Amino acid sequence: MNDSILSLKKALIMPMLISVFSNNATAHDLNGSLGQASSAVDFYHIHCFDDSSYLEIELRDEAPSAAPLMSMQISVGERVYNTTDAKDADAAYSPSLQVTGNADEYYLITIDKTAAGKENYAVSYHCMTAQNFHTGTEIFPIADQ
Amino acid sequence: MNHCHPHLFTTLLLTSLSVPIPTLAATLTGALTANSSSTDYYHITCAGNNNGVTDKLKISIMDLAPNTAPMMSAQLIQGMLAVNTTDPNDKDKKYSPEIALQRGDARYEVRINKTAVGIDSYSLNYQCVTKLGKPTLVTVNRIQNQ
Repeated sequence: MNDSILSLKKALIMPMLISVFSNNATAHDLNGSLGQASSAVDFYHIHCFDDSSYLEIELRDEAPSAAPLMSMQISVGERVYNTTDAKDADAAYSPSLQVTGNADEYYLITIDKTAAGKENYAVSYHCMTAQNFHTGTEIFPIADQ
Repeated sequence: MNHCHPHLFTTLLLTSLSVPIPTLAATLTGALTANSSSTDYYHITCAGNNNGVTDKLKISIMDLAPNTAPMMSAQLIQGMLAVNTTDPNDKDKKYSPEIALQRGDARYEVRINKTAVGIDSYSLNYQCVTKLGKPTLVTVNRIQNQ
Protein backbone atom coordinates (compact mmCIF):
# COMPACT_ATOMS: atom_id res chain seq x y z
CA MET A 1 0.00 0.00 0.00
CA ASN A 2 2.77 2.39 1.06
CA ASP A 3 4.79 1.37 -1.99
CA SER A 4 1.94 2.16 -4.32
CA ILE A 5 1.42 5.60 -2.71
CA LEU A 6 5.15 6.30 -3.01
CA SER A 7 5.10 5.29 -6.67
CA LEU A 8 2.11 7.54 -7.28
CA LYS A 9 3.89 10.49 -5.62
CA LYS A 10 6.97 9.89 -7.76
CA ALA A 11 4.84 9.68 -10.87
CA LEU A 12 3.15 13.00 -10.10
CA ILE A 13 5.95 14.99 -8.50
CA MET A 14 8.95 14.15 -10.68
CA PRO A 15 7.49 15.54 -13.92
CA MET A 16 6.54 18.73 -12.04
CA LEU A 17 10.08 19.14 -10.71
CA ILE A 18 11.54 18.53 -14.14
CA SER A 19 9.27 21.13 -15.72
CA VAL A 20 10.23 23.71 -13.09
CA PHE A 21 14.00 23.32 -13.31
CA SER A 22 14.60 22.41 -16.93
CA ASN A 23 15.65 25.06 -19.44
CA ASN A 24 15.11 22.65 -22.28
CA ALA A 25 11.64 23.12 -23.72
CA THR A 26 10.43 22.17 -27.17
CA ALA A 27 8.33 25.19 -28.16
CA HIS A 28 7.84 28.68 -26.80
CA ASP A 29 5.65 31.72 -26.81
CA LEU A 30 7.19 35.02 -25.83
CA ASN A 31 5.44 38.28 -24.98
CA GLY A 32 7.17 41.65 -25.13
CA SER A 33 6.65 45.34 -25.77
CA LEU A 34 8.35 48.21 -27.58
CA GLY A 35 8.60 51.73 -26.14
CA GLN A 36 7.33 54.96 -27.62
CA ALA A 37 10.29 55.78 -29.90
CA SER A 38 9.94 54.82 -33.55
CA SER A 39 13.54 53.56 -33.43
CA ALA A 40 12.86 51.03 -30.65
CA VAL A 41 14.12 47.50 -31.30
CA ASP A 42 13.94 44.39 -29.12
CA PHE A 43 16.74 41.96 -29.68
CA TYR A 44 17.00 38.23 -28.80
CA HIS A 45 19.20 35.24 -29.42
CA ILE A 46 17.42 31.90 -29.85
CA HIS A 47 19.50 28.76 -29.41
CA CYS A 48 18.33 25.56 -31.08
CA PHE A 49 19.88 22.38 -29.68
CA ASP A 50 22.28 20.01 -31.37
CA ASP A 51 19.67 17.93 -33.20
CA SER A 52 17.94 20.96 -34.71
CA SER A 53 17.62 21.69 -38.40
CA TYR A 54 15.57 24.88 -38.60
CA LEU A 55 13.73 27.55 -36.60
CA GLU A 56 10.03 28.15 -37.24
CA ILE A 57 8.92 31.57 -36.02
CA GLU A 58 6.07 34.09 -36.34
CA LEU A 59 5.04 37.42 -34.80
CA ARG A 60 1.69 38.81 -33.62
CA ASP A 61 1.01 42.52 -33.10
CA GLU A 62 -1.10 42.67 -29.95
CA ALA A 63 -3.35 45.30 -28.38
CA PRO A 64 -3.34 48.29 -28.24
CA SER A 65 -4.55 48.53 -31.82
CA ALA A 66 -2.31 51.35 -32.97
CA ALA A 67 -0.87 52.76 -36.18
CA PRO A 68 2.57 51.12 -36.20
CA LEU A 69 2.98 47.84 -38.03
CA MET A 70 5.28 45.38 -36.28
CA SER A 71 7.99 43.39 -38.04
CA MET A 72 10.55 40.80 -37.03
CA GLN A 73 13.85 39.91 -38.67
CA ILE A 74 15.56 36.55 -38.25
CA SER A 75 19.21 36.18 -39.17
CA VAL A 76 21.58 33.27 -39.14
CA GLY A 77 25.06 33.43 -40.58
CA GLU A 78 24.84 35.97 -43.39
CA ARG A 79 21.16 35.36 -44.22
CA VAL A 80 18.34 37.61 -43.02
CA TYR A 81 14.55 37.29 -43.44
CA ASN A 82 11.63 39.52 -42.49
CA THR A 83 8.02 38.95 -41.48
CA THR A 84 5.36 41.59 -40.72
CA ASP A 85 1.99 41.26 -39.03
CA ALA A 86 -0.29 43.11 -41.45
CA LYS A 87 -3.16 43.57 -38.97
CA ASP A 88 -2.95 44.80 -35.42
CA ALA A 89 -4.72 43.13 -32.49
CA ASP A 90 -6.38 40.30 -34.35
CA ALA A 91 -5.71 36.66 -33.48
CA ALA A 92 -3.63 35.95 -36.56
CA TYR A 93 0.15 35.84 -36.62
CA SER A 94 2.40 37.19 -39.38
CA PRO A 95 3.46 34.81 -42.16
CA SER A 96 5.48 32.01 -40.55
CA LEU A 97 9.16 31.75 -41.45
CA GLN A 98 11.17 28.55 -41.50
CA VAL A 99 14.84 29.50 -41.31
CA THR A 100 17.35 26.71 -41.83
CA GLY A 101 20.45 26.61 -39.67
CA ASN A 102 23.13 24.22 -38.55
CA ALA A 103 22.74 21.91 -35.57
CA ASP A 104 23.37 23.74 -32.29
CA GLU A 105 22.54 27.03 -34.01
CA TYR A 106 22.03 30.56 -32.67
CA TYR A 107 19.48 32.74 -34.45
CA LEU A 108 19.41 36.51 -34.00
CA ILE A 109 15.93 38.04 -33.72
CA THR A 110 15.07 41.75 -33.94
CA ILE A 111 11.56 43.17 -33.50
CA ASP A 112 10.63 46.71 -34.57
CA LYS A 113 7.73 48.92 -35.65
CA THR A 114 7.07 51.45 -38.36
CA ALA A 115 6.15 54.51 -36.28
CA ALA A 116 6.19 56.08 -32.83
CA GLY A 117 3.85 54.62 -30.21
CA LYS A 118 3.95 51.88 -27.62
CA GLU A 119 3.20 48.40 -28.91
CA ASN A 120 2.97 44.85 -27.58
CA TYR A 121 3.78 41.65 -29.37
CA ALA A 122 3.83 37.87 -29.09
CA VAL A 123 6.40 35.63 -30.76
CA SER A 124 5.84 31.93 -31.33
CA TYR A 125 9.06 30.03 -32.01
CA HIS A 126 9.93 26.38 -32.43
CA CYS A 127 13.26 24.69 -32.99
CA MET A 128 12.69 21.71 -35.26
CA THR A 129 14.62 18.63 -36.32
CA ALA A 130 15.01 17.56 -39.95
CA GLN A 131 12.19 15.08 -39.25
CA ASN A 132 9.93 18.00 -38.19
CA PHE A 133 9.93 17.15 -34.49
CA HIS A 134 10.27 19.82 -31.83
CA THR A 135 13.64 20.00 -30.13
CA GLY A 136 15.36 21.93 -27.37
CA THR A 137 15.12 25.72 -27.35
CA GLU A 138 16.68 28.52 -25.31
CA ILE A 139 16.11 32.26 -25.61
CA PHE A 140 18.36 35.08 -24.43
CA PRO A 141 17.03 38.66 -24.27
CA ILE A 142 19.78 41.02 -25.50
CA ALA A 143 18.10 44.44 -25.74
CA ASP A 144 14.70 45.57 -24.48
CA GLN A 145 13.70 48.99 -25.79
CA MET B 1 55.61 59.84 -67.84
CA ASN B 2 54.91 56.18 -68.28
CA HIS B 3 54.31 55.66 -64.57
CA CYS B 4 50.77 55.57 -63.28
CA HIS B 5 50.08 57.83 -60.27
CA PRO B 6 50.28 55.57 -57.18
CA HIS B 7 46.82 56.53 -55.81
CA LEU B 8 45.24 56.07 -59.23
CA PHE B 9 46.98 52.72 -59.58
CA THR B 10 45.71 51.58 -56.18
CA THR B 11 42.17 52.69 -56.99
CA LEU B 12 42.23 50.91 -60.33
CA LEU B 13 43.63 47.77 -58.72
CA LEU B 14 41.00 47.71 -55.96
CA THR B 15 38.25 48.35 -58.49
CA SER B 16 39.45 45.55 -60.72
CA LEU B 17 39.50 43.21 -57.72
CA SER B 18 35.97 44.28 -56.68
CA VAL B 19 37.31 45.40 -53.32
CA PRO B 20 35.10 48.08 -51.76
CA ILE B 21 36.83 51.44 -51.70
CA PRO B 22 36.46 53.61 -48.59
CA THR B 23 34.65 56.87 -49.24
CA LEU B 24 33.23 59.67 -47.14
CA ALA B 25 29.42 60.01 -46.90
CA ALA B 26 27.56 58.11 -49.57
CA THR B 27 24.21 56.98 -50.85
CA LEU B 28 23.35 53.64 -52.38
CA THR B 29 20.21 52.45 -54.09
CA GLY B 30 18.72 48.98 -54.04
CA ALA B 31 15.53 47.02 -54.55
CA LEU B 32 13.59 44.29 -52.78
CA THR B 33 11.75 41.55 -54.62
CA ALA B 34 8.01 40.88 -54.25
CA ASN B 35 8.30 38.37 -51.39
CA SER B 36 7.33 39.98 -48.07
CA SER B 37 10.29 38.33 -46.34
CA SER B 38 12.84 39.95 -48.69
CA THR B 39 15.70 41.61 -46.87
CA ASP B 40 18.85 43.30 -48.14
CA TYR B 41 21.83 43.09 -45.84
CA TYR B 42 24.98 45.25 -45.75
CA HIS B 43 28.12 45.52 -43.69
CA ILE B 44 29.17 49.13 -43.28
CA THR B 45 32.62 49.69 -41.84
CA CYS B 46 33.72 53.01 -40.36
CA ALA B 47 37.42 53.89 -40.14
CA GLY B 48 39.18 56.98 -38.88
CA ASN B 49 41.00 59.40 -41.18
CA ASN B 50 42.66 62.79 -40.91
CA ASN B 51 39.48 64.11 -39.28
CA GLY B 52 39.94 61.71 -36.34
CA VAL B 53 38.36 58.50 -35.16
CA THR B 54 34.74 57.67 -35.88
CA ASP B 55 32.18 58.48 -33.22
CA LYS B 56 29.06 57.08 -34.91
CA LEU B 57 27.42 55.78 -38.05
CA LYS B 58 24.30 57.65 -39.18
CA ILE B 59 21.82 56.20 -41.66
CA SER B 60 18.41 57.02 -43.14
CA ILE B 61 16.30 55.39 -45.83
CA MET B 62 14.03 56.71 -48.58
CA ASP B 63 11.27 54.57 -50.09
CA LEU B 64 11.53 55.11 -53.84
CA ALA B 65 9.13 54.39 -56.69
CA PRO B 66 6.94 52.47 -57.28
CA ASN B 67 4.48 54.04 -54.84
CA THR B 68 3.11 50.86 -53.33
CA ALA B 69 1.66 49.69 -50.05
CA PRO B 70 4.76 48.34 -48.32
CA MET B 71 6.63 50.68 -45.99
CA MET B 72 10.39 50.32 -46.00
CA SER B 73 12.52 50.10 -42.87
CA ALA B 74 16.21 49.85 -42.04
CA GLN B 75 17.74 48.36 -38.92
CA LEU B 76 21.19 49.42 -37.77
CA ILE B 77 22.97 46.91 -35.51
CA GLN B 78 26.35 46.83 -33.83
CA GLY B 79 27.18 44.36 -31.10
CA MET B 80 24.21 44.24 -28.75
CA LEU B 81 22.70 47.56 -29.89
CA ALA B 82 20.02 47.92 -32.54
CA VAL B 83 17.81 50.78 -33.81
CA ASN B 84 15.17 51.02 -36.51
CA THR B 85 13.96 53.69 -38.93
CA THR B 86 10.98 53.62 -41.30
CA ASP B 87 10.09 55.94 -44.17
CA PRO B 88 6.43 56.71 -43.44
CA ASN B 89 5.62 58.20 -46.84
CA ASP B 90 6.36 56.48 -50.12
CA LYS B 91 5.25 59.39 -52.28
CA ASP B 92 7.45 62.18 -51.01
CA LYS B 93 11.15 62.57 -51.60
CA LYS B 94 12.14 62.69 -47.97
CA TYR B 95 14.33 60.33 -46.04
CA SER B 96 13.17 58.55 -42.89
CA PRO B 97 14.20 59.87 -39.47
CA GLU B 98 17.97 59.57 -39.12
CA ILE B 99 19.23 56.90 -36.71
CA ALA B 100 22.75 56.42 -35.38
CA LEU B 101 24.83 54.13 -33.21
CA GLN B 102 27.88 55.44 -31.36
CA ARG B 103 30.23 52.47 -31.61
CA GLY B 104 33.32 54.14 -33.05
CA ASP B 105 35.52 52.64 -35.74
CA ALA B 106 33.72 49.34 -36.27
CA ARG B 107 31.74 47.17 -38.62
CA TYR B 108 28.01 47.84 -38.44
CA GLU B 109 25.15 45.76 -39.89
CA VAL B 110 22.30 47.30 -41.86
CA ARG B 111 19.20 45.34 -42.89
CA ILE B 112 16.50 46.70 -45.18
CA ASN B 113 13.02 45.22 -45.40
CA LYS B 114 9.38 46.06 -46.09
CA THR B 115 6.03 45.43 -44.49
CA ALA B 116 4.17 43.62 -47.29
CA VAL B 117 4.32 41.81 -50.60
CA GLY B 118 5.40 43.86 -53.61
CA ILE B 119 8.51 44.98 -55.43
CA ASP B 120 9.98 48.16 -53.96
CA SER B 121 13.17 50.17 -54.20
CA TYR B 122 15.07 52.39 -51.81
CA SER B 123 17.88 54.81 -51.29
CA LEU B 124 20.11 54.38 -48.24
CA ASN B 125 22.09 57.34 -46.95
CA TYR B 126 25.00 56.55 -44.64
CA GLN B 127 27.80 58.53 -43.04
CA CYS B 128 30.50 57.83 -40.47
CA VAL B 129 31.37 60.94 -38.46
CA THR B 130 33.66 62.08 -35.65
CA LYS B 131 32.40 63.62 -32.41
CA LEU B 132 32.68 66.99 -34.16
CA GLY B 133 30.53 65.76 -37.04
CA LYS B 134 33.36 65.56 -39.57
CA PRO B 135 33.22 62.62 -42.00
CA THR B 136 35.43 59.58 -41.60
CA LEU B 137 35.98 56.73 -44.02
CA VAL B 138 33.14 54.36 -44.79
CA THR B 139 33.14 51.09 -46.73
CA VAL B 140 30.07 49.10 -47.76
CA ASN B 141 29.84 45.38 -48.50
CA ARG B 142 26.57 43.97 -49.76
CA ILE B 143 26.07 40.61 -48.04
CA GLN B 144 22.58 39.68 -49.21
CA ASN B 145 20.51 41.01 -52.11
CA GLN B 146 16.89 39.85 -52.21
